[in-house]
Amino acid sequence: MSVDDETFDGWVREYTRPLFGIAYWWTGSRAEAEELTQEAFFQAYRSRGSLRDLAVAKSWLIGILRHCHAQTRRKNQPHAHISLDEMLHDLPGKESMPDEVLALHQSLARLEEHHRLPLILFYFEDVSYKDISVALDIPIGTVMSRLARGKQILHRALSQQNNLVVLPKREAR
Amino acid sequence: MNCELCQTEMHPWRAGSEPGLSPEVLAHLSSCAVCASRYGRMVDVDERVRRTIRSVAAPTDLEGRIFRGLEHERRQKGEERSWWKLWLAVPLVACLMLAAGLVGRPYLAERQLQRDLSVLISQPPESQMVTTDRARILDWSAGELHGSSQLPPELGRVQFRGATSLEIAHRRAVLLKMKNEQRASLLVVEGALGRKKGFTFLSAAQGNASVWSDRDRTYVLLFRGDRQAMQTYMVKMGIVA
Repeated sequence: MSVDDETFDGWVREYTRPLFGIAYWWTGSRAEAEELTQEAFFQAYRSRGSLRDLAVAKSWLIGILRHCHAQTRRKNQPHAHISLDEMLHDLPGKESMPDEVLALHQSLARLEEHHRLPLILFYFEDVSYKDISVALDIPIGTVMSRLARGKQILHRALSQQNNLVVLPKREAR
Repeated sequence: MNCELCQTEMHPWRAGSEPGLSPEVLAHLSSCAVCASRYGRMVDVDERVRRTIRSVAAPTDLEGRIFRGLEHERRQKGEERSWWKLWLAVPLVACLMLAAGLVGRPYLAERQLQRDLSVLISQPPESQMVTTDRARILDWSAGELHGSSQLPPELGRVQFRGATSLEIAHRRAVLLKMKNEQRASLLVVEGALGRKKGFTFLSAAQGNASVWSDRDRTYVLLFRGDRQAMQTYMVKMGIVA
């Protein structure tokens, strides 16, 4: 099945916002999220011939976003071993973030990636369980079990920190 | 159902999404105040998280940047496609040229022959070899044409008085002047010229010509006179019936 330019442009208009949102919460960085969203659309455009069913366009795009995310992580492998403490300190633009956004970042940072990725998709109501399953390439049963575990950890983290963990300022390295 | 299992099952649940909560979970929630309270908190927290997650807006120019990038992709793809088409056109053009050459070459050769014959009829060259010995003339001609000294059967009765070697339509040829008819001469050209089988008649300002070919050579009877006289001569010499 070939996707014509007009259809693809329609997807850009419809899905730029949710894809950026997903990428933002996956990475915790606006700059990285912008880059990922753009790259996902470019890769999707190049491989649009591989899409068999237009009805699954959204989960297909999220799947490509996940692939780009994994690629970026592999490329930046040396930085992948940042400690949790460092991650919380290094959250870009945290000074200007509303408290609840920063609290959520800090809580999400406590989750393993295989819990964090489906959980963020879960909070986008228009992404169905099936979309999550297709996008992350895991069975629905696995989606449900990861959501159950991820949500328990997240809720615990949010209640423990009582909205916000204030970290002491670190000295410049 | 116990409390632990209830919590595990209620956590992935999302309002309005399928699958909904199972009847077992619903039954447990209605009978267990602790789980019902946890369930209520979970729904509140989920709603808060959902609002926070959705509060992050995409940069206003992101969509525009994506479109600009796509435009670039499409332009590049278009250029690649045109190069690909160009490369595809190369063998096509080569085939067309070959076909034009195959079809056009005999036509061009015939035109050249016609021009050269007109000159030959109006200004016949001097003989390089003067003799009436048919065998000698044919041997000499065979040497000039690098081939057989035999003429086809329809020319078995013609006699010659002189011969000249020359080039016609970019091919080697010999012009043999007839012994018993001053107006007639025979041109023998290497290779088959012309597109038709059988005799082709050509007219020039000073006379006429009749052209025919076999596999290896082309024969032209040149005649300084009208076509009727040429045909009478050809019949007389047994060239045509």
